[in-house]
Amino acid sequence: MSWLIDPFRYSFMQTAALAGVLVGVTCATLGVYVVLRRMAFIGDALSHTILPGLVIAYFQQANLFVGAIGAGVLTALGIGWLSRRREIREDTAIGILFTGMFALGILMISTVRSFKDFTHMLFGYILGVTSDQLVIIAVIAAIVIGALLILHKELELTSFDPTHAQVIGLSADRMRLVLLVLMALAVVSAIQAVGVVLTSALLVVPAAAASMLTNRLPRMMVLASGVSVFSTIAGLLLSYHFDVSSGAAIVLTCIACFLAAWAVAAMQRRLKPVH
Amino acid sequence: MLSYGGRRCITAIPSAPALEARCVSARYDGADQLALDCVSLIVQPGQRVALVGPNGAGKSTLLKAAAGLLKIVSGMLSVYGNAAAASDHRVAYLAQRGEIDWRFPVTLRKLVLTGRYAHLGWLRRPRPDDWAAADAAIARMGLSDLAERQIGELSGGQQQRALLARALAQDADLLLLDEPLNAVDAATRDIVAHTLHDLQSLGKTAVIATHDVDHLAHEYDHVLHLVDGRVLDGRQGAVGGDMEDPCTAPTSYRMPVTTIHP
Repeated sequence: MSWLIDPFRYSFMQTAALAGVLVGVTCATLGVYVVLRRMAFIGDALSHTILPGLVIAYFQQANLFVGAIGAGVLTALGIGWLSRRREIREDTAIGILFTGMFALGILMISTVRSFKDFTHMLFGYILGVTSDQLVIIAVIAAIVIGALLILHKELELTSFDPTHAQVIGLSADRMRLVLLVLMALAVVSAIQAVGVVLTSALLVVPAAAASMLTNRLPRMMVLASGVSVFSTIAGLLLSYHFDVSSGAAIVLTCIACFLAAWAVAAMQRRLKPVH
Repeated sequence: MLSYGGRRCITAIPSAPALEARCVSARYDGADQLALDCVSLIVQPGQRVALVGPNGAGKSTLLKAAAGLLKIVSGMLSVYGNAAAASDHRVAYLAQRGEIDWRFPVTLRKLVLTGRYAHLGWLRRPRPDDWAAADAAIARMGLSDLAERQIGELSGGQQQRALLARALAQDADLLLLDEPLNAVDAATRDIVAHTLHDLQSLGKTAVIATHDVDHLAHEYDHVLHLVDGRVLDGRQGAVGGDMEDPCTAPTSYRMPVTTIHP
């Protein structure tokens, strides 16, 4: 028991756990849409394109969140614009935007000597979350979860039947843009926890695990959040006791949950005859 | 009510046709050819009209334009006297089944409930009478036992009935059905036919794109034959089955357009 409880006597561990749980629930609930609408690649792209924004904010001594939110929302709008024009295939367009912006970020980093802060950008540093950052993470969680609650029926309908939505005057393109902006916000808060490189894992993996276990949307969101919270706490403990990267430990615990859910689903299919 | 797309509940103009097209032309994004080429037709309230014709003749395009899914290039297209796409709750459009993501985790009951959304708009949650309308429509389609099933677990015919149930729940006046009888079982075929008959006695209008030309004469009030985006006069083309070459067909075969008094 002390193995589980002792680490959380430290205030930095408490802050990290709180931040991790908030980020986890935000990403997991939103991630259900990301998985069901097959937007996983966009999630990955969003987190990478944010890098130049982070670096510019760092150079200007500004709040990193401001730079990240700016870059994230701009990318979300850019992807929405590109995908509406349909001149280039959407995944190609995103592939260009995403690698280009990421390379720009790396280029800017390489002009400075110290890489330490930038390592935190790439791989996350949840143990170093400050109280200011915690406030922003909480605000983002409130915005994302609030929007998912208020716009639930519209997001759900445009996800599975955009045509009917369009007929009753509800623009599927606009709801997609809303989702992209929410994703940008979620990604910004997740970067703090697991870094640019692993952020899309928080969006995709818990939701994918939950989708193995249920075919009801609200239940899927609750289950995904559960997976996420469990993985955050377990990842933090592993990181504390074995002195490994916290972001990597969190993501690997998520993946383990996914594999377990997959095994359970496969067993259920084996036991239940197909009707 | 905060309605979607900023639309208002536009009242129908008395004595206006349910659907009227005057030389409507339409084109899909990026296509060179017109999908609809000066199509004119008038569907009066309470009528059942079939659109027939080969693939690519413009049947779906005409329905899409009437549903406000496709902007027309020229001409005039009105629904109960208002421009198409202006009266959201009055029109129900049943897309071909392929346009829905059937793997999405919603139940049949939820799918049918989305027919009520046009009456709810932003922010408002479905009320008990919305659920009741959905349940009544599901019962009418003989699907009550399957209401809690995920939509992908339904057969093709059950999915088609679910979509018709949604149109009933929406309480629309003009139903636009794209190939509702395509690859469905006999039970579904009967239920769809009965429902359309019942709707007609309630004064509802239905325009149906179909390949199913067997019972056209007695199931529909009019049959419109579309070829290459043009309307031929249905009663000659469809029932006898002789297809006029659109290039040589006399223009008198096109539907006459009468003047409407607003």
